[in-house]
Amino acid sequence: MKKVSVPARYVDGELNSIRKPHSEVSLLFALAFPDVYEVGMSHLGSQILYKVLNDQSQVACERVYAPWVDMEAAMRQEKLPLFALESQVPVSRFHVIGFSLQYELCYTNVLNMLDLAGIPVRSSQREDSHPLVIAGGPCCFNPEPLAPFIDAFVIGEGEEVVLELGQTLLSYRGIPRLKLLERLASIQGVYVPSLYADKYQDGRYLGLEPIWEGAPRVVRKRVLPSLDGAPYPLRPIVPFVNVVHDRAALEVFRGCTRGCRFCQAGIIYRPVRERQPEEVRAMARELIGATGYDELSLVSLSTADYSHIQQTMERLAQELSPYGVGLSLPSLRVDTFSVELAKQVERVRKSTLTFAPEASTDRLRRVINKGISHEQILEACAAAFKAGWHSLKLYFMIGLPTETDDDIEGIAQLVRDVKRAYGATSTSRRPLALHVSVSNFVPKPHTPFQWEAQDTPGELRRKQGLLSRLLKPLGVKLSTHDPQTSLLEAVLSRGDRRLAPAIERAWLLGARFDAWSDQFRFDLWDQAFRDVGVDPGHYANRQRDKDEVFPWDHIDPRVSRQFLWTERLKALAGEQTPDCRWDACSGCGVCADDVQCRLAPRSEQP
Amino acid sequence: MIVWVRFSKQGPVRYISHLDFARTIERALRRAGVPVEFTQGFNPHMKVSFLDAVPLGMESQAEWAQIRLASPVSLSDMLSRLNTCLPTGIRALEAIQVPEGSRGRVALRAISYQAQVRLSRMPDQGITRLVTQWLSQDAITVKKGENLIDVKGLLLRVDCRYQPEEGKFVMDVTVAGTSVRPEALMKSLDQLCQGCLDMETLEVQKLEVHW
Repeated sequence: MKKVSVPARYVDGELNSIRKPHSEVSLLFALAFPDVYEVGMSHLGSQILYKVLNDQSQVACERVYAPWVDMEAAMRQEKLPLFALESQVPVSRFHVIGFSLQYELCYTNVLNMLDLAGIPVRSSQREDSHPLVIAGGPCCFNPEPLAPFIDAFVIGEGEEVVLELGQTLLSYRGIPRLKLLERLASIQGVYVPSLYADKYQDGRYLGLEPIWEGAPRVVRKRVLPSLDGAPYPLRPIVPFVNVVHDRAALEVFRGCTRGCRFCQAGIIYRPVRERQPEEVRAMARELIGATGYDELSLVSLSTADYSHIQQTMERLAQELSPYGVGLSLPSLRVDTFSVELAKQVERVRKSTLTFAPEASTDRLRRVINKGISHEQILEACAAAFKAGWHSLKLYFMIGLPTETDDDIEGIAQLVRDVKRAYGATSTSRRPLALHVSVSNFVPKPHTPFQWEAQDTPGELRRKQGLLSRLLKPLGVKLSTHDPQTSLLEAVLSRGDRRLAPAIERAWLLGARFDAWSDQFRFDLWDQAFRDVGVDPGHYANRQRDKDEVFPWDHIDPRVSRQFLWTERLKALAGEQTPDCRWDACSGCGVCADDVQCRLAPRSEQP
Repeated sequence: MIVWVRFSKQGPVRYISHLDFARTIERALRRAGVPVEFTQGFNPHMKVSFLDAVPLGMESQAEWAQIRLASPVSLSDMLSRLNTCLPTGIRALEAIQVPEGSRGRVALRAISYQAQVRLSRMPDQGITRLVTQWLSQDAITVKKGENLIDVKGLLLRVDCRYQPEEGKFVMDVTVAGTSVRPEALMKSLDQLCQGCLDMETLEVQKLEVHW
């Protein structure tokens, strides 16, 4: 233990972690996060499920993270199997291993963790005595690349379905694995890939065919009708080590209907469900009391959109600042209202302000449905500078559909205008510290851009070079993403089952922690693709026809494919779709029965 | 009001770094509702400072923290509240108040450790004579970074014994300042007896800080 880096990653005993004697429970559930401790511990969803499962007296839920490369080497040398943090018991002795799949580049870690646990990586090789291997999270909205490795996927929000799954396991203990999988497939929102066969013609994907008559043709996502009374970890585990998000997280609402056309979260977490402001304040008090954190983050996909954001922030700041507790917002809209909110935040701490215009020109922002104008961006910046900020970060994406070099030049133009605004309005004597961060567009399933081709790595590199030359004389800091990493992300996110052998091959060749730039080895992936005969360009760089069968067609996010197609056409025409929270229904299809947009009653428009 | 609190750090939490330990103490203070004073400015933080830091992986009975309080508290009440808010492995053992008028500054003079190690074999000359021989050298040199230094003058107290039932060699040692670690002392002893100690089994605990 003394030899590995950050040994605290592998020991529990953190405040609020839960240890139950295994002799007193009947179901052992290992919550697995396929990245290092510091990343996994920053994930709110895992903390929610940890609470939900451990609230059950007959269940013990423990955590396990991907061991860093030095620990993996030590474990393999000492023949030490992957163990759960709380009990230090090998994961292979648990009944269920549930992976949280937050991003595609963790897939090799999933295989590696199974292997370190001594569990066959392929479902078909597992026996009745092996744990059930399940997965949840946004990546499960296209589960196909991992289909041969995972026994069952959970589609959508896990709070309820994870308990139904546990109940089924307890009720049917001892029945053969195949029969158990059939029982699981009858739970709404559970997808058991081994009950389907994938069909192709001339290399074209034709869809899935159930091979068991009870398997549903379409698996519909699970969604909580309301957050009122929904389980929430008010006594979350407080890590010892400095994790990525080292603060108390309070989810003020779920879902987002802004309708940015590249955004998958904006589709799969619909509809919007807000928490009541009184509940938010009561939860905040309890969270700080139970954790001692010096920072409370109000989280959601776009917290400035919360109906009661202003008064909630004001009252929380009043209540918490005497204890040295600051507020923070994970993201800001680009407008003056958000700057006002940021001032509230900065009552306690002063930091860099981050805006995400995503695209540089008014035209391209209409394409992606990010309806803010050049003037509005400059207004927001001016407001921030007037309030004393001298450090600003701007987020953009390149490679968006319809993008031309004019749009790349647009980033430089915007930067010039922002700098001019600083000179005109700033109250600070310090020079403006401007940081431009540029990521590469990755087309995602279940978005209006799911039909689009991704720019090739060569083209992305050319655009990055162009941008770098344009920004150089402007004295701003530019950071970009590796185009090959983005290519892999695009391949895996829209892949079918033919990618599974490539993932397995890449893992065998040594690919690990692909999301970590210091660990990412595209050469291994390149070889893996060649070894198994997969053309990455077929998945990443190809535009699809309207009616092409997608590998994720059997997964239903409750938003219709027709809506996505209409949105795509509107994107190409540069037409906007307003947010249905404050405007007409856009007809996405998510609202039905008790699943509806739920705003907490409010007095004023944002 | 200024108080000094002695914390212990034992079991798996010995693997957390000093910075993480300090943050854990601050969070416990907040949970326990201890009225700690804050610094002024844009980035206020608690006025808590530690006398020294135990190395990562070593257990300790003496992590002393100086805490400045905004209002007076009962020390016993503060300790019991803190202990309900601390994670397993960390305890608040005692608290002392700095007298009125003192600025609360102290200098660390010495640290007492207990080091335990299994024997890989009994040394030829026996334990007692080995220790006597080791201590009566003109200089006890240990490696410090790239250099060899003589630490004999820094050893304020050395008390060694053998526990035959566990096959363990135990050294209680008090060293001046922070520059000598018991690991280095054991290594020097191990060299003298040509590897009679199983250094892989070495466990060190920090017992007390003298100031």
